[in-house]
Amino acid sequence: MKSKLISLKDYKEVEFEKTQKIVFEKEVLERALHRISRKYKKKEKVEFVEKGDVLFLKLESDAPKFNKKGTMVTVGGNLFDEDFEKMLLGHKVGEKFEVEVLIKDETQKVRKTAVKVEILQGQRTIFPQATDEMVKDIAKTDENFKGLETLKEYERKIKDEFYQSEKQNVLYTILKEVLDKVIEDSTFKLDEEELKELYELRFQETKEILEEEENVKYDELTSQQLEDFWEVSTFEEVEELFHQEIEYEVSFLLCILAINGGNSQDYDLFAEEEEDVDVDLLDTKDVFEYIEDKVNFVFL
Amino acid sequence: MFIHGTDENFKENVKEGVVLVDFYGVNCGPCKMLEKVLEDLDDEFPFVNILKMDTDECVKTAEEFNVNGIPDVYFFKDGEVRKHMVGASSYDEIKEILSKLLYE
Repeated sequence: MKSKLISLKDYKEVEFEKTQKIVFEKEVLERALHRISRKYKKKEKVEFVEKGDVLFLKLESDAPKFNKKGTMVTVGGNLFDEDFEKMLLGHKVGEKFEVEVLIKDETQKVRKTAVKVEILQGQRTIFPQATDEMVKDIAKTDENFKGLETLKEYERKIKDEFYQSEKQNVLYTILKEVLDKVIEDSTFKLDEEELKELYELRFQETKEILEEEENVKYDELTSQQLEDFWEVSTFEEVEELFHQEIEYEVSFLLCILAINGGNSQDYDLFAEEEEDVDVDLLDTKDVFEYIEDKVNFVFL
Repeated sequence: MFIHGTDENFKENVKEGVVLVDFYGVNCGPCKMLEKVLEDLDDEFPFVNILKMDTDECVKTAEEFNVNGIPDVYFFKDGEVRKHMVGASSYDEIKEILSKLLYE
């Protein structure tokens, strides 16, 4: 590398919160219990529409999306239209009625339009309460739950897994914050030619990925697509983003090489083969373990 | 609705409507993560067809689609590929794609 590190901020001098609370999310347990009971789900016909019901609707309107001879909608799933789905609640299967919805016309202007609705059919899925028997059943097929016999044991395992997973998330978040601070407070002499070459390489890779996976040419992207991919609205902003990311990447490499005792002048920034890169020199393990050692977790 | 995919039934299952095709491996961690997402999707939207293609069994189709990394997800509409994603995607990401394909 031609770019150089002038002074390195010691990561041990970066402050971070040493006590971290992890609160168990009730929803995680609910989903886990749902997962073991879903095998036993039953379907029943709907009389009056409730949230979660799957309806077969006939829609008539001047808006194409709301003009369908038959379309399936899950009420409250927010896949079709959040506001429209709410309007279906409480209606009876077989009923015909009219509602007003907001749509965007061809000029993207929002307007109201009337929609005639007929609920042709409705189905509701019933999930039974989780039981010990269901736990024993899943223990037979899922290695992860082998040996479990009761709901209590299953819940304990779900909680343990949650806490361990969140602990890792917290540690990695702190790691990123510490490394960002190290980069911010270190000083560098970045080689402009090297940055330019790396920028062009990354840009070209991105264009190829776009064509291959999204079937779209970079130069033909619309403002909306720029927003979707990069949360910016102009090509200039995309390019600026790439410049910032390249600078960050090179600065990060210089810092992590120094932390691991590597020599940046021996490091090939443009190595094509993974075997040519000494991954130990890029490892953030030491910083991670330092943070892990310092943080106390409180599980609630 | 989950459909067990094979090399033989693949074309028939994707030719009509919106179908999410999941190329997966039995011992693949990210595939298991995606599996949970797809189960939730199936519970909430049972009318969405999810074609499960085990890459060990459906070798011919996996090669045809150049499947290397898994999970590898294709969204078909009336027989045509409309979107492609590699790796475990989130529930919201998949919902957004399905919303456009099903209703717009």
